[in-house]
This record gives sequence, C-alpha cells and structure tokens, in this order.
Amino acid sequence: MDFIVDCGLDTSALLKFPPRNTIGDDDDGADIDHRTTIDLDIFGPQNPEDDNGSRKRRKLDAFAEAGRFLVQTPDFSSVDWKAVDFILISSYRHMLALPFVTEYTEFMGKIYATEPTIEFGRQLMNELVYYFGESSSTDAASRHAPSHSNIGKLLQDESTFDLTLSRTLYTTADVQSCIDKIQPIRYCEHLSLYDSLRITAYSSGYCLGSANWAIDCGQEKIAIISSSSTIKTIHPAPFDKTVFENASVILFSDLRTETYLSYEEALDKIEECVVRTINNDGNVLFPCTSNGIILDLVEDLDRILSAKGLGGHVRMFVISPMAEESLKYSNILGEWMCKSNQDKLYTAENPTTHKLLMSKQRLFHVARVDSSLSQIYKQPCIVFAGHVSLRSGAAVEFLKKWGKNTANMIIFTDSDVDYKEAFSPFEGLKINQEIIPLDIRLSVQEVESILRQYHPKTVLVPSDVNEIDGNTLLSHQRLVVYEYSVVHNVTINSQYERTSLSESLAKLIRPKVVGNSLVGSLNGNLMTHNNRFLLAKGKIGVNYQRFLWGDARVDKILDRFAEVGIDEACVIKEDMLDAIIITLDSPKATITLTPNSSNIDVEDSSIRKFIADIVVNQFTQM
Amino acid sequence: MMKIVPLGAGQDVGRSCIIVTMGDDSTGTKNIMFDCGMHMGYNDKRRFPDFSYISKTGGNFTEMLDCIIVSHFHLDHCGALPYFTEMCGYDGPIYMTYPTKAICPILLEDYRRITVERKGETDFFTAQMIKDCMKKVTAVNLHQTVKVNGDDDFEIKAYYAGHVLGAAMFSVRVGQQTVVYTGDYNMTPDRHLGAAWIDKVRPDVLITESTYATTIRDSKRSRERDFLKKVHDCVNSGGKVLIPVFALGRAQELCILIETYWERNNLTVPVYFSAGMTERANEYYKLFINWTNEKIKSTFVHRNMFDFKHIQAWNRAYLDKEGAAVLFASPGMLHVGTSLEVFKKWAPDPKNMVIMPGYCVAGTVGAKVLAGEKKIHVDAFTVIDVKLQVRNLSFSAHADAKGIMQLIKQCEPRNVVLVHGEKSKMEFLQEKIKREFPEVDGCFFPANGTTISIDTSLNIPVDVSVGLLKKYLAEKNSQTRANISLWSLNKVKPYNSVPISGMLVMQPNKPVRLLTPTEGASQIGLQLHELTFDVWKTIDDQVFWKKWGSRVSGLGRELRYAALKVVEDALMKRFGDDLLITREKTRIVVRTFVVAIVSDTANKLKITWNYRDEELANALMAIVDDVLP
Repeated sequence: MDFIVDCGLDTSALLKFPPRNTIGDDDDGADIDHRTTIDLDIFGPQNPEDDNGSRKRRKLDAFAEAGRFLVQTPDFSSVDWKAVDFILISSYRHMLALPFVTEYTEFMGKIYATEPTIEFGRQLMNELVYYFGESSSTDAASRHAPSHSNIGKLLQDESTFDLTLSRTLYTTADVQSCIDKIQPIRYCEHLSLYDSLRITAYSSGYCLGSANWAIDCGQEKIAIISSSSTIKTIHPAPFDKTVFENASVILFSDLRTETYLSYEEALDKIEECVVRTINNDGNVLFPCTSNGIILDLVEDLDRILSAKGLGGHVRMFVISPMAEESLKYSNILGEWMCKSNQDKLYTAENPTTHKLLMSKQRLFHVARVDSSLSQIYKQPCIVFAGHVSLRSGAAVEFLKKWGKNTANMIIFTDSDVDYKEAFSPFEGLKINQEIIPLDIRLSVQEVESILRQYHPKTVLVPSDVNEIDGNTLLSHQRLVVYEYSVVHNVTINSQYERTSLSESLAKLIRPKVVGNSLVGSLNGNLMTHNNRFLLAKGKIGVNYQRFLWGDARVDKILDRFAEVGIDEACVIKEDMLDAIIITLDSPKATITLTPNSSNIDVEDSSIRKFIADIVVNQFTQM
Repeated sequence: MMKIVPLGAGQDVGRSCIIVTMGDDSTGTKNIMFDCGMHMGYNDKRRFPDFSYISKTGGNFTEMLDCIIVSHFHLDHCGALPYFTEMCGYDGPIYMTYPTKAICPILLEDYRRITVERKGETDFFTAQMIKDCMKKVTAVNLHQTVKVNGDDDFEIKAYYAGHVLGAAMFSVRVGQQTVVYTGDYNMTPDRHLGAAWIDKVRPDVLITESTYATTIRDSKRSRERDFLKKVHDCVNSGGKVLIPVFALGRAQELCILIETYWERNNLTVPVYFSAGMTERANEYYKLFINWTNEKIKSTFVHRNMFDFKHIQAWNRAYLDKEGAAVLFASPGMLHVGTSLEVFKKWAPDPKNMVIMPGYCVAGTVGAKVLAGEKKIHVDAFTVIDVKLQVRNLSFSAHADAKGIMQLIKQCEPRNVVLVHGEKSKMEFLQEKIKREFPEVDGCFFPANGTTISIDTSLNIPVDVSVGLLKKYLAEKNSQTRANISLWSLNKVKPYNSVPISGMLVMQPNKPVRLLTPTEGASQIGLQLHELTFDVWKTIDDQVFWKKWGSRVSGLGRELRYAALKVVEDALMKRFGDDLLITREKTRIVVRTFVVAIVSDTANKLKITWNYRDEELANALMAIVDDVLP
C-alpha cells in the first residue's frame, strides 16, 4: 500500500523572476491589456559560495514577458507513480502541484479531499495560471520533464533553485482535468479502501474544509496532522481531536516554526497599523489570496474601523480573478464553519460576515484592476490582492501606484513568503512595510500537550521543529525527526484484520476447552464485500483442515490392535530420538511416535485408514 | 433479531413514525425512532403517532428511546417532534441534516399558527416549544458517520435522498446489525435536486417508502411539457391557474420551470407566490446550494437559480383582480390557508384551473377535488361549487416502482419493510419484490401498532491474523497465476471468495481471533501434534504400460516418471482450477501432499502428507489409486 499525503507547490521560485508588468506607469489603473516591459533589474538569490553575500544581477525579463515563470514541485523522481494507490489532500494550500501528478505522470490511483478543499483548490490553481501561466502554451515537455526545457538550460549556470524540480505552470485545461479526478469526502466519513484499510478526514480547524487524516489498518491507527489550528475565534469548524484517539503513530507537519506574535497580538498590531495609516490618509495593501484567514481579517478590520468611526468611508477591495467565486462560495459552506457561524444557517442568515459587508457596500470584489474597479474605487481604502509573491496580479499594480507615498502601507501576513525577497524588486519605494504574520498553526507547545494527553507509540515531527521537549514522551514512545527525502521506517504491527463470522458458519464450530480458552477449527469461505471481510459457510471439500493435540499412549494403541486381532506388534523404544516405534508385520506398517509428532508408514494404502483411525483416536482432534 | 413497529405510516401515508429495536447481548438493545410526523387528514389526537405504545404511562420516553432520526422537513415526517420532546418529555438525541434543521422549524411554526390561530386549538405546542425542540437537534452532514452517545457500536450515516432539500436516507448500525430507513426519496434527478444514492450497505432490513409503488411514471421531460402547456393554454384564454404546493421544495422546482418558460416565451401574465414564507424559503435554498444538484451548484456564482425575476409576492387584494394569472399557494392539500381561500374564490369559474402537483391525504379538500367531487363541503357552513378544470400532475418527488426496485438493487437488503403507502399498492409491490429479488428473505408491510420480528444473522466480529490472511490470499493469487498457462484463460475471473481454514481462539476479555495453527497453539500454550503418513504406491510395470502406453504420448521410458506424469495430468484435470498443484522434476506438491520418486525404489512412488490435509489426501489418493493400478 503506497499513498501520498498532500501535494504542494513551492512558489518561492517565482521570486527569482521580475514582476509581470500589467499596468502602465500612469496611475489610472485601467489598462489591463497594455503590457509594457519595465526594465526592472532584480536580484538573484544569494550565491552560497559568495560569503559577503553580494548579489548577482540577472535579467529574466524575457521569460517573464513570454509568460515563462517556473515553479517548484516536490521531488517526484523517487516516486513510482504507478505504485501509488491514493493521495490524501489536507487543505487547498497543499495541493497546487497536483495537476503535475495527474496530468504528467503515470499516477492511476485515487485522490481524496473534502468538497471545500477541491473547490478552493480549483480556484487557487486557476488563479495561479492567470497570474503566472503561459500566454501561448506549447511547451508541455517543460511541465513533464522540466530540466530538459530551454529555460532550464538557459538558467542552469546561474540559478540556485533546483532545476530538476522546476517546471513551467500547468494550464487551465490541466486544472479542470485534475480537479475532476478528485473524489469529494466529508468530515467523519469513513472510507473503506482495500481489505480493511479505513481512512477518515477530521476537521483540522485551519481553513474551510481543512482536514487531518486517520488511517485505520486493522488494529493500528496512524494520524496524519497537517496544517491545523486550535484557535477558537476563527471561522472554520473547530479542530477535531478524535483523530488522535487510539493512534499508535502520529505524524505532524506544517507546525509553527518561529515564535512571533500570537494570533490575537498580531491582529491587534494589524488593527493599529491600519487605523494609523487610514488616519494619515494612507491606504493599506495586503498581498494575499481571497480565502482563509483573510475572511477573519476582513471581519475584524470592519469591526475596528466602525469602532473608530472610520467604517463608513473606508472601502475594502478583494481583487483577484477568483475573488467573487471565492467569497460567494465561502458563504454556502455554513456546515463547514464554527458553531456561531453555523447557527446563522438556522435563521437563513449569511454565515459569513463578508456577505453582509458586501451588501453594506463596505467590501467589494473585482476580478482585476480595470474599469470595473474605477467605478467603485475610493480612497482611503484597504486592498487585499495577490499574488503574495508580488510578481503578478493586482498587488504589483497597487504597489507601484502607492509605493511612492510614505503615507501608504503594505502589510505581509503570510508566514510562508520570504517577504524580503518578494519586496526586493521594489526596493527604494517609500511605502511603509510591516511584517505581521497571522500564523494560526499548531505550536510546539501544543504538540507537547497533545503527546501528554494521547499516547502514541511513535511520533514524527519535521526537522525544522527542533525544540520539542523529549521529556514529554513516555519511555516506550519514540520520537522521529524526519527530514527532506530521508526515508524513515516506522513499524506498525498490524497483526489482525477485523472480519465478521456469519452465524451459520459459527454454528458449525465445535470448540474445545484448553485452559481458560476455547479453541476450534474453522473451515469456511472468506468473502469480500465493499472491502470488508466476511467468514461464511461454504463448500469446503479438500480445503478442510484438521488439528491434533495431546499425548498418545502406546499401550492403548496396542490394546486396540489386539482387539482387532493384530497382536504381533514389535515395540522398540528409541531413547535417542525420544521415540517409540511400533512395527506390524501383517499388515505391514511402521508407526513412529514422538511427543510432538508421529508418522505412519504403510506399504498398502488400503490399510492406512484403518491404522490412522486407531492412532488419531488417541489424540484430541478438531 | 430485529423488531419493527410503525406507529404511523404503516399501510398509510401520514404521521410517519417507525420504531426499530435492534442490537444483541454485546451491544445492548437500542430503540430508534425514525421520523416523528403528523397526519394531515386528522384534527384530533389521531394526527400524532400513538406514543403510548412506547410507554404506557406516558413518561420516561428518554429511557425507552435511544435516538430519533428525522429524514426530511415535511410535516408528515417531523410534525409531531415538538409535541414529543416538549410535551411528552423526550430529551434524548435527535438527528437530522443541516437543511432539515434549518427549514423544519419554519414549517412547524406555520402549521402551529394555522392550527392554533385559525382553528383556535389550545392544547398545542407553542412557538417557544418549537425553538426549544430544535435546540436539541444535532445536525449531520451527508456520509458523516456519527456515533450515538459516543458508542463505537452505534453509528448512523446519512445518504442523499433527493426528495426535498436536505432529505436523507439513514443507515443505522448497532454492532453487526444494520437497518436503512429511506424516508421519502427520488431516484431521478430533477431541476434542483440530484438523485438518491446509497452504498451497497447490505442491511438486514431496508425500510422504504412506497407512495408510488404501482406507478411507473412517464419521462420527467414530457410531464414538464404537459404541465407548461396546460398552464399556458389556461392563461391564454384568460383563466387563472392555482397551483397548491408546499412552500418549500416542489415549489422551487416549479418556479424554476415557470421562470424559464416565461422568459423563453416572453410571457407577461403575472406569476404570484403566496406568503412571505416563500421568500425566506428561497433564502434557505441559496445558503444550501451544496445540497442541490450539480448544475445549480456550478452556476450559482453568476446566476443564482433561486433569484426569480418573473415571480412576485401575492397580495390578498389580487383575489378579485380581473384577467389571467398564475398563483403558487400553500398548503398543497387545500386544507387550510391561502390555497383554500383562493380555491373557494376561483373554483366556480370553468375558465380557471387548479393543478394538483402533489399527493393529497384522504379527507382533505385536495383529495376531494382529485376524486372529482363537484360539490365540496369545507366545513359545516361552506359548500364549494367546483366548476374549474382540475389537473393532477405527479410532480411529487417520490420513487416510482422502478426507483424502489433500483434502490433495493443498490443496497442489497436481506429483508424489506414497506411503509408510507397504501395497503393494496404494498401488496402489489411485495409480489414484485419477491419475484424480482429471490435473494431477499422477507418483504413485510406491517399496519400501525403491529410489531414484526425479523431474524438477523448474528455475525460475530473476528480478528483474523494477518499471517493467515496473507497465506490464503497469496495462495489464491499464485494459484491463479500458476495454472493460467496450463489451462484455459477464460476460466480466470475475479474472485470474491476464497476458502480459509484456521484455528478459532476465544479467550476471556479478548476479541475472538482466527489464527494459523502455529500462532493459535503458541497463544494458548498448546502443543500441536503433527501426524504424517508415508504411503508406498507400487506400480505394476505391465499393467501400467498396457493402460497408458498407447494413450498418452511423451511419457518417456522410465516407469516412475511416466507414472508421475499420469498422476499430474489427472490431478490437474480434476483440481487444476481449485488447487495450487506444483510439479517439480521428481515430485508433485499439493500443500502437504507430495507424490515423489525416491531413489532406491524402481517401481514405487512415495506419497506423504500431514494429517491436517487428510480431506485433501483422501481425494487425491482416490485419483492416484484410480490411474495407477
């Protein structure tokens, strides 16, 4: 059984490229089709051999202009895709490399994800294609085998990003085809796959539809914990701890690696920055996607702005080709939300606040910076726009529009993005920068408290978490720190498979008492239905099995022979072998008895049955 | 053993309420109530199920019942719930889907208002009671497996039923026993909902509705065309069309139909919808788009199907307005409310038309209209002269006979219980089920208050050791592969059954286990005794060549090898499909049974086996003795 959990895309490679320019230098912000090349020199990544960190200048405009951006997938080279049985997706954040698998490898297995994960995943993939896809896509080879592409060759000397993992992006057709292959599931839906392997998704509390997976195989359970959050004030359904119950192996990933501000502290700081900026007639830009924690941020900012009396005249804009779909779709996911949002369903109210803010003309969504925006655009305002890498999309346009003014502010909230690298092409711009990660993931302390409460035999944590306190573990527990591409073997002794025994077969069993146990020989048929086993009555014939135990007494065997008129038995005791050998002359037969095994040797098969019966009767049989 | 008693919907439609008692010694007995509905045809105590059946004293319902499961929001399935929880005192778990939990209080409130405010009844549940009742409800998602009271051996799971928004079928497992209750369902997708679907649950009992047990309706599309044509013809000649419907469910489907037809044909005749309740209804539909069908889901971002442009709110002042109009009004059975009020007004004019798109409970004005009565007594003082055209269109989204059979095929029940239908139709359907599904053990349709007992096979959970499982599954696989080349390929087919033998071990406080003999013996500290046989088969040289010399070519000259070949062919012919038979140079191996050439004998084959395979050896020895005289 081979399976893969999550299939994320590393978009940090995008940072090596200059921003895709989609706006003229004039600030009208209305000309989407007018693409001029700005001659932005960008800084390449640090050269490892270059100790003083001097940066190499490189021009990649040509590729960007041709729509050539590269992204990095996980290292697929060691994966035998034909052998992979299934892929489990934990959230829409961790599936963006999936089209490379479904469309460009021999993967034939199944993919499971919750309904919201699939839909948001589709939106994010399409958004990515919109931002970074090729305008004229012909080079399928570079998605399939990236290192052979022309771009790969051109960049080989200078680039430090791993070209064997870099590819040009997939197309919208790839996205649709990939999404169609995913099977939707819901929280707590048990899926029986192959024999008695059972997988279940439990809410991870991180975003709408985010899941942790429990894999039950017979008596053992593996809990796979991906992006999770226990913060109670955010909109997704709360973290479901059922996933840990009876788990013998827990694998943690995507934990909080740095200790910066807590979620509440970060929110406070963002509020303060936003209010200060607005009071100074500035505008605020959040480079972000139009889903996830942003929904809570929007709600929170509206609350604080209203409290400060600024609510009425500050507009919020979510700008992305997927903004409308994303916001409207979130609103029909009440069942996937926390209890207070869920309760609104029962009074036919919108479960999300953003729907209300949209109707109150506080929040707006537009697909892109064009005339539809200019109709509603009003400063001061707060803009939520992508792409987080600041290499494409409305975020770039607003950065250029607002960058020269010190009253404006850009706030980076995504803990995954290297904001320095992201901002590097814009160095020299006067806009205020704030880095306030809104990191809601599990912290090391929370992991430790989970381990104290549940008692898995083995715990796996990623190597970037180095501070886990070994003292939290009990003596029989094992902590494994896993690293990139290092194979870890975790033994799970799944010794049993749960089946059910039909009543009709059970009635045929004649159990015997041995000590405090009952034992019996079972001869039946093993049937499979819906990947579940049933032991049922059936035609057994030659498949019947018998067992013997107990001690044979030689004198009793001889008595029986005498009774039927065979009294010329010769009995030899072989002490060396701990054996007693009974030899008969007529009929000709040799019976060798040892404590644990016996042999009957006959010349003529017709008398075998007769002798066998006498010997077998000495034992307990089943 | 499983016991089933309908307190309502037994050989009847209305006040659905079925009590199932299941479980065994290991799980304890569980009592489950499926649906808690009211009857539209009665205004006295018969409108609610007879709960005294559960508890004669009328108390401690919480002790007697383990949970209530409500299939959908129609009143004949949930109408008695506030009465049972707030007035009878049931305080245990209640399960329904999210949309049902959202919509059913609206219908309950509407029902309460009509009963209390229009009819002046006093001993009835209050608005607050409905609210309190709904607070006790646990909402579930489709396919989500819920453990009742945290019990690992008591699980429920909802499946999509199609009938109305949020309608679900429920499978309940207690230990090894399972029951599926369908509620109302629809096996064909309609304009706003998908088709019902269920896993191959193989339940001990399937309790299914049978409203349309004898009908096989013509295609959906032609029924829709028919409906639209009738409406169009009527309004063209200046008539008024009254369509009595439940405000939620069917109403939305018909509105989508009218909306698109009006748009396509540029019609300007006004279309009305009665009561503010419906606007709210559309709001619910907008929030639960995920429970509608794929088409509505995929387009909702740009065009929400439940924003109707041509349909306006009804105002009582329009009652006397001249000219053509179309009105959707609730309730669907014309027993009270707007639809009855309008019907009284419009019925005497033959230009007008009433279209009854649903089922009408006996005794209601709707049922009388459908029966063709020309003078209808609404109450002691009012008689309506029915002159308008009456049309019955079966739009009600129940499964027809074909659909019911389809569901039985899908979930493969061992027994079927029919509820929610008329007795004569059930008899017909029972025959049909017995005829078409001989593998179904029993098909029942108990009357209200009649208990039926169904024997359920008592399956015992057994843990099979992986070692044993691998041995048999691997054997089956290698046997299939090994014998393919020798015998015909067309005999190779997927299997879902393999013979298995092992040692069943029962120890106190442990699950029952099935182990290999070695594992079993070591676990209970037992020394197995291995008995083996050596039998020397002497072959008569002359007789052998006389028998086989001419008949089989390629035997070679050596007697023992020739004999071995003859034995191999005979074994393959008889057991090649069932057993893994391995031929090595000097021996044939079938499990522990070995036929071998031993060096020091010229005319003998040595045959050995372990007593474990005594059955096998007896069968194979018979063949050996037969071919080697």
